[in-house]
Amino acid sequence: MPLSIIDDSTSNDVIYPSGFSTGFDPSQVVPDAFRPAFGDAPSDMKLLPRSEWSARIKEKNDRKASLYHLRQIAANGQQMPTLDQNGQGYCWAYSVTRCVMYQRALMNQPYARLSGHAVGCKVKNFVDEGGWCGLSAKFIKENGVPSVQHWPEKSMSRSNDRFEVWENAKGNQITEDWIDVAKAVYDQNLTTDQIATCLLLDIPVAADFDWWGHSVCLTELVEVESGSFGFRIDNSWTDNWEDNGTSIIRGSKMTPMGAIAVRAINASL
Amino acid sequence: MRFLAASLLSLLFVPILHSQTITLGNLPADSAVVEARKTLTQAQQSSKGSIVVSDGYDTSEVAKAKEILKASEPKKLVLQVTEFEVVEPSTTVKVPLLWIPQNDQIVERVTIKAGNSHSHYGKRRGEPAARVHYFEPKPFDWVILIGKTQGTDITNVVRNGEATDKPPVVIDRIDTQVGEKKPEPKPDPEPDPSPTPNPGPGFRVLIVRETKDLSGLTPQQVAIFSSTEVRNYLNQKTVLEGNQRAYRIWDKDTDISRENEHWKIAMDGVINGNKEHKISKATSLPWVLITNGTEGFEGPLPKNVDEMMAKLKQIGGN
Repeated sequence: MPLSIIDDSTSNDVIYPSGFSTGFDPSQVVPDAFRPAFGDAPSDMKLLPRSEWSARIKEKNDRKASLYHLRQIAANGQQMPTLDQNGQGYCWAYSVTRCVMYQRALMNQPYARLSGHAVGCKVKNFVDEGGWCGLSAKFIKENGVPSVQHWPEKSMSRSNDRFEVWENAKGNQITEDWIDVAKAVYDQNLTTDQIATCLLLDIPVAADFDWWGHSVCLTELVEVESGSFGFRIDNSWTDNWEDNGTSIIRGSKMTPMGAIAVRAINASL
Repeated sequence: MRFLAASLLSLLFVPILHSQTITLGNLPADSAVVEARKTLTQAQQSSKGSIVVSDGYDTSEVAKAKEILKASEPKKLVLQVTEFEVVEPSTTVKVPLLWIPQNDQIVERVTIKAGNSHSHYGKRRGEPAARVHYFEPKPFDWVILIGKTQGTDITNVVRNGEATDKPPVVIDRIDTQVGEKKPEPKPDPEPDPSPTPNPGPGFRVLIVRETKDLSGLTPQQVAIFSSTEVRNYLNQKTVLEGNQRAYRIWDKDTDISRENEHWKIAMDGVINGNKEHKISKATSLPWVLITNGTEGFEGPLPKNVDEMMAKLKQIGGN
């Protein structure tokens, strides 16, 4: 099966398919509003040199050892289904929520489908509105994200906003991340090399793409052709989109406007 | 005479041993170099071996000639493997530069674009140890050179000609010598597998790591954490706790207050040591704790998936 690739030649049928929404909107942001809340500076990260990328990717493929491979067995031995933002503009909440799900799988916490809608609703006061991954990361760091058993999938009902729901959410709080604390929340930006380093170390990254108006979870550095790399994205448009909900972005499409690496979360049952 | 000869020799080889940004693009014109050599040669040949004002050279002219010759020599850079240094263009360089190394296996070059901040973890030349270096944005492209393997390399730095019909110009050269990597401290001897960590009955596995430091592991070690082979084995062999298999991979700072008690004991044992439960304090991270309730293993993360599987099967069976 050919790889699903998004680059400058990709048609809008793939990038903006009917029935799915995006929602990354930097214009909504209040600069510097949440600056003190964020975690470690990306300067803590030792970058893996590009000269090592090919060999590291080969090792991961040979060993079937990446977030992509982990996804295949992460839902109690089955493939972890793609999230679904339900045609609403909460992609920025789903991208970080998906990172938390990958971290749960890495730590071998019980599989739980988490509710990106819970985060979007709380941050935007139950209004269907665009945002950016920094907002949802801040919220999840402070409050966590509940499972869909506690905040039903795609629900925007205020009746979900209960004490016990947020008690459940506390089990999925981000405890360590990598973002650029030197910049305002709307302007966090891990460079391509930093993102590649994270993905080679199986650290999921939420990334906002200005060209797309969309925020997605990145899970894998892929060598599409010899010396040419791309990021595998894990979208929030159900398993029906492209390759079981994933695709590979490459070239100029790879550069995000902002990105957050989710390094560690709470352990919870 | 002897003094001047020594001075000339020192101009030809000036290794920069301490942390100091290298600035490119100050290469003088060939005609200036010729004139400078002529000045110094004639000064060297003066009868008294010193600067004679009446011979037509004053001290400032000789000093200037020395500066020109010094600037015309390749920049000498001595690095150890994994050490790095910063190289940036002089203020006179306004155009993109082309780097032509003789041997691109000796030095790795990381280019940072104008306007971008950059952070780099490593040991800068002359510093005692690796650390995080943060660089503010600069109004020009600049590079970091990192010693990659032992050897020498001369890199020519080239810019376009003044016009399309003019040839490119070598504006500078960097003569790099990368020394042998200092031996790594010997790892702690592998602990005796005889102690039996006992966080609970049944086959259980705990790996504790520092996610901040994962870049320091080999690719073969990194593969252990997400290896399908390891996961399939653990999903088959570890005991069920509720609906979850009894293995965990945690950051050392993971909040485990919501976990079962035996996992808290195991984690605390790895971080602090626990004599009652015979869990040794980890001497390095990542650290692996394996038990089947009667025998166990605790020690550093194995070198690769195969060795990890061997350890697991030793305790958990085939």
